[in-house]
Amino acid sequence: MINVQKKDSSGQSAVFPDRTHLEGSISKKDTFPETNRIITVTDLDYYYGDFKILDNIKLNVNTNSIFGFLGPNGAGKTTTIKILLGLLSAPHNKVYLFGKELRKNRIEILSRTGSLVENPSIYHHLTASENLKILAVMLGIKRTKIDEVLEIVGLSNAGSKKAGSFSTGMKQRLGIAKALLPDPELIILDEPTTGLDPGGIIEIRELLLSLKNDHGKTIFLSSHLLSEIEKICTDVGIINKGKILFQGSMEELNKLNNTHLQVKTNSMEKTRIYFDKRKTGYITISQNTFDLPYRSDQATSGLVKDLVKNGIDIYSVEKKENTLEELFINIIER
Amino acid sequence: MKLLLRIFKAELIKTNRTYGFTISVLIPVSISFLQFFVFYIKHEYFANVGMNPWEIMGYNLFNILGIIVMPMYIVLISYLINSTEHQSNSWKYLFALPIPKFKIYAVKILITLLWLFVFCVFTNTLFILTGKLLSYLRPDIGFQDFNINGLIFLSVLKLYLTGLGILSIQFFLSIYWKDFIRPVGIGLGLTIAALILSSWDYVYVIPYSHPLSVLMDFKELNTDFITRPVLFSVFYGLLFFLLGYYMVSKKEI
Repeated sequence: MINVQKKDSSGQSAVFPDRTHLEGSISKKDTFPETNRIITVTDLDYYYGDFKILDNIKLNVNTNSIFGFLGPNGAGKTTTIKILLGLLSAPHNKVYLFGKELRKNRIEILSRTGSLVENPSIYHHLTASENLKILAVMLGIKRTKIDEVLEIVGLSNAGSKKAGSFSTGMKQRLGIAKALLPDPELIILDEPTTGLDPGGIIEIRELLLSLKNDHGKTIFLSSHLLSEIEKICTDVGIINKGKILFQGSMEELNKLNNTHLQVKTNSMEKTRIYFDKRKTGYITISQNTFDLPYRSDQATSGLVKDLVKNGIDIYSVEKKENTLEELFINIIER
Repeated sequence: MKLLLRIFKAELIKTNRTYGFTISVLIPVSISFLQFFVFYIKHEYFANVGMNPWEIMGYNLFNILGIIVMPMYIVLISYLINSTEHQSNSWKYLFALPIPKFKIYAVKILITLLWLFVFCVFTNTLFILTGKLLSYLRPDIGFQDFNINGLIFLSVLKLYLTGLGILSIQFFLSIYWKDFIRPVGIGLGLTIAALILSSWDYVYVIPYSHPLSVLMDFKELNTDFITRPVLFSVFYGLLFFLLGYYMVSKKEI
């Protein structure tokens, strides 16, 4: 099922089933009776003055998933995140975390949530350890946890250095360390790889995967880079101009994404005959470069082996993806 | 209460290596050093033989503090405590913690009140020490012949209370605005306005005039503790404390 916001025959959203029968219980108990859902947002509108920033937002984030919140700058990602953290006030009974209504259970919800919003909040006149110590003292967390999280984010050698002298990437890591320190069940990260070098991006990616797989955390992260989201996320929500365009699993997004392969071989003729025989839809890009639909990594590997077996030398195989803009157009057109 | 103590402790770590505490000590030390120096070298400019030198030095102290130093000191510490959060982009992080906003706000005010307390304790102690030291080094001035410790203590206590109104207002402005210019500019402007209007019968409605009332009371040897400026200052203090909290609770970051 592709969870694009399309109405099915009954007039209901294919993504978000009818919940009207639950409304009575919500208003009475202020809870959302779906235990597997860690975040539920229903029909959320948000205005800044007269300007509508979020338009009928619906989100469902499952426990122990990495949910990528994808959208261009100014789409409403940070506003949504700020609402999830209670920094901007949402209307009543629209936002539920851990099955509880946010406005009425703010403190309890926040005690189970770690966050990094926009630029990391770091006291530049203090060391990295002192920055974490402030939080540890405030929340009554054991001091030994400070060294642990510094180790996790790769700052154990920089703990005694003043945070003001840190590079952007180090500050970002310290911000993530602050989000991890209270050992939250849900970690909300707004553009966590901003300012990181490629090595740093890979480290953060591995860290997030390990938090999900080894520690059972749920991660909600925003990004404007599709390539970033698809590498680690299990689920995706796409937002543009305050509206959710798509929500579903990564596989469902890949189906929309029109990923294709570009194969360069030594012989145009032999390759053409090979593809024609197997009725593979292809486009010839240049003399010996072909563009064909991508199915899966396994299928690609099989194709390469088969081509070689048929005496065709392969110079390169490249997986090509749509840009975010192209993906948006694809989604809107559907 | 435990949580409040934890936030207080965390806030003290945060203010480590900032200037709030330093200026709370440095200003009284500088004033006392200058007073000692001036009285040691040229006491006859201020006091004739037989006059109570404690009164002369006290008048001089409360004059400097009441006119400009005390209001501007409060303007500065209120800015400093909040600028730590503004500059580090931390309000959003603090308010996304599982801690009631009121406690975060109240602890910040408490730290500022603590600084003001340190300022007053140093002012009182150093004033007495300066006089005592002069009584040994320059017995001809006559510090040893008089004792007004009680009046000085009362005046410094009143000075603390008359600072509460300014503190709450400046705190409010410094949370509301990120920059240095607006809260400090308004603080300076209102201090000057209070000074210009100091002879106006209703000047006590301007909180920035309250510290100066300590000078007037001291001059007249008025030992009333609950004076109109003290009452108004406490009233403004409470009013803007609550208004500040209302603003913080509605603050969207």
